[in-house]
Amino acid sequence: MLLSMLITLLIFGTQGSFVYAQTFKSNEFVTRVGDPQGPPPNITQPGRNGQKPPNTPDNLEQALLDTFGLRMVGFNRIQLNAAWEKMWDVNQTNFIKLVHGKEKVVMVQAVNSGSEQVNCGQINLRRYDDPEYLKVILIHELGHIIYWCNEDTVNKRSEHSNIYLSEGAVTGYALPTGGTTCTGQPGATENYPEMIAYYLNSGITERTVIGMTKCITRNQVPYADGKFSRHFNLVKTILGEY
Amino acid sequence: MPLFGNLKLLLLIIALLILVSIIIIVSLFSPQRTSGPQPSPQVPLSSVTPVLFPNIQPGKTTTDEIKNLTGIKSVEQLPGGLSQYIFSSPLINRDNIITTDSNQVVFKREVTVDENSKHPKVVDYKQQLGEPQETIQGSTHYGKFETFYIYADKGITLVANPFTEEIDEVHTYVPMTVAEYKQRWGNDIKEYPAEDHP
Repeated sequence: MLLSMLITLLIFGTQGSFVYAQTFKSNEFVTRVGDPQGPPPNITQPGRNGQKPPNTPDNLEQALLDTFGLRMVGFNRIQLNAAWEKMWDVNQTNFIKLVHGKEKVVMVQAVNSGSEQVNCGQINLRRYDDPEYLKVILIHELGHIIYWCNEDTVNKRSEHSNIYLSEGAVTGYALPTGGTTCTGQPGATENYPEMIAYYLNSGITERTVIGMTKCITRNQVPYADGKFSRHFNLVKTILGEY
Repeated sequence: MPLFGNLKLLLLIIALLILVSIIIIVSLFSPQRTSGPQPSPQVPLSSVTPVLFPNIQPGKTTTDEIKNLTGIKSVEQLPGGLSQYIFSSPLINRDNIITTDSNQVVFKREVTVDENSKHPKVVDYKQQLGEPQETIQGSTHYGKFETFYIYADKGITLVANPFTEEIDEVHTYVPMTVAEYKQRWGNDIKEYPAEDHP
């Protein structure tokens, strides 16, 4: 009798363990927020050796998703190609890894106006005709995700805040006017993605403000001639050599 | 003799089976089995409360005690007879402040990032305080996603990044309603328009 009781208890115990494990796994899944399109694909990150893009694949949307975890929705081939080129260009840095600080897939949704970060799993990006402009704003908006979706010890936002106070805004877009930037955002939260955007688009004259009447541009190359050296050293620490 | 030996062995097996059964029964009916994954051990509130001014309690601490603190940068007079004592924080543009009214502390704002860029987490407070009465997104200082976790009836508001749950500031004040908190101490709350790239 004791033996049968022992066997019965062992069976119950095992089943209980399964239920426990399933409950725990389910909770883990629920807490992973933001992936609007189902489970993430296997992201095959190329190595960090600054490769040139391979031959442009036929299905650029799929290639961007598979290679860089970017789900680009609603863009034409020229725009997709610009994104493809830029992701390969920055691939040797920590940029792509930090963009995925919270989410394995980030959706880049084409919109007709108002590029912005939506959350850790999505940005909205205008369908810019100029590929070079698209590259700057794409990096800027993904830079917002790095700012909000990584811990301070990783993205160094507090350190950036103090450097911003010390050296000022990297571009006119991040200049505070009456306490906020020309778009009404706090200076530091716009200066941070600008710091990244012009580090990863080096040598380009600031152009984030093109067409924005409320913003001023200083028509300068942000890091030229040793300007903003503390910003430059910080972003180099965060992203690595570009 | 062999019979006695077999009996001894049988008794030993029975004793072992009873012991194993008791262990299984105890584990079967332990609380862990019915409540799923256990939360991490509760963190005492004192260990997650900002440590800069641990003994300054709104509604209890007097203005004279504040005047005796070291590190006062400046004192500002606010409308309504309030005095604001300003202290440096790790963030250059965000001071720690203690506000007094009628010789009593009524509000304090403490920046919580430490010198290693580490922050306390919202989850640690939630374990002690439960769910907030209200959350509001948008801060003039920290930006559009920054979230206020308001426990006005307990006199505590956490200002935090909702994605990483890192707390940037803790506001402590005399308990009141949420509406009163927003009106008296919620001047950093801001609703944002969408960003505007052309």
